Amino acid sequence: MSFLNGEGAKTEYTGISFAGAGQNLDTGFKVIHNAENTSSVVNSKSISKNGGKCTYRSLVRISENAKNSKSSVSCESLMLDDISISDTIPVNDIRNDEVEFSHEAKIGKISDKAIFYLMSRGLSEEDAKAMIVRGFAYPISKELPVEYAVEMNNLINLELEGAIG
Amino acid sequence: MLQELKINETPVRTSRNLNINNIKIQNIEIPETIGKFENVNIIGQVTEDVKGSYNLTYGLGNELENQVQQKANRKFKIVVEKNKNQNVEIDFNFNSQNLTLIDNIEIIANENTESTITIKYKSTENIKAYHNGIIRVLAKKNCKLNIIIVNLMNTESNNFRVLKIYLKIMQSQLYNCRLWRKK
Repeated sequence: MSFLNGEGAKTEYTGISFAGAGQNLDTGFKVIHNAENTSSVVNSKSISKNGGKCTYRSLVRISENAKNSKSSVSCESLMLDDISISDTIPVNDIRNDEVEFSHEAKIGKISDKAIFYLMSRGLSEEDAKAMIVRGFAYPISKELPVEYAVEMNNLINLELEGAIG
Repeated sequence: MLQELKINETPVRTSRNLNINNIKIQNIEIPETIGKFENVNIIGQVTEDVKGSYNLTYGLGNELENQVQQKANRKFKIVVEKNKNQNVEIDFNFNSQNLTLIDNIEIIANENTESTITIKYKSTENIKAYHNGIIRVLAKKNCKLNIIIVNLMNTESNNFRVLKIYLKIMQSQLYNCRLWRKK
């Protein structure tokens, strides 16, 4: 949770969750704009597989006195099978007219079309799916320090080995 | 044993049928006796001078928040001094000798600073660990603060954590990765 109390304060949240069988990951971020010219960027991604459940909750509140504030919220979810669940509950509470605010949410299954395309280029189905998942997580992993990014990619590969489809 | 814990309530209620207004966790084993947690690697300058309680609500519920205020077995304070840049990394490694961690972390970034704070929770063995913690941040004028939290605890463990940031004319970036490690 971030409180933007000083004029011109900025905050950015980038999060990723990976829910496997029997897991319920309930994550989120709140940001309260309390001063003028403040800005926030929220970027959340979640992946669920084998019946895992991901829930993302966010609140962006821009107060009456937070004139000329900017906020951008993006939440994306990827489900790898038919039994996994993903919910996003973004709440946007804008209390003055002089703001720039954008919000986008995308929830979907892994695209058959994309898998077919990659398979036509010589990849196996598993490799194609793993490549799509790595591409989905890439915007987050590229922001992390290199040792954590490598560990994150390794974990994703480990979880995906023979597990999808 | 905590019978039921209601967490992460949505600020605006949605249809009851969706069952997503909040989440209830049942029968959580909360450790009564808190042992020591020694397996911590620290890179950078930290102290253990965290002052008692603050009248703040974090969202974890009274029971868990009181546990942090009263029974924390690791307390860290990170102060980034004015006009200086400082990076700190704290790695908490759970194993069979270090099963319970209740951490209370305070970060103060003073004026004109740039810093990256990395906090990592990792369980290396097939154990049932417990973590409950609060991270409280105060960031002052013209500072840039990156906070990276990496959770690599196994699926048997209970993990409760909340982070609260107060910003005064500054820039902060928070990266939160919640992955899980195979047993």
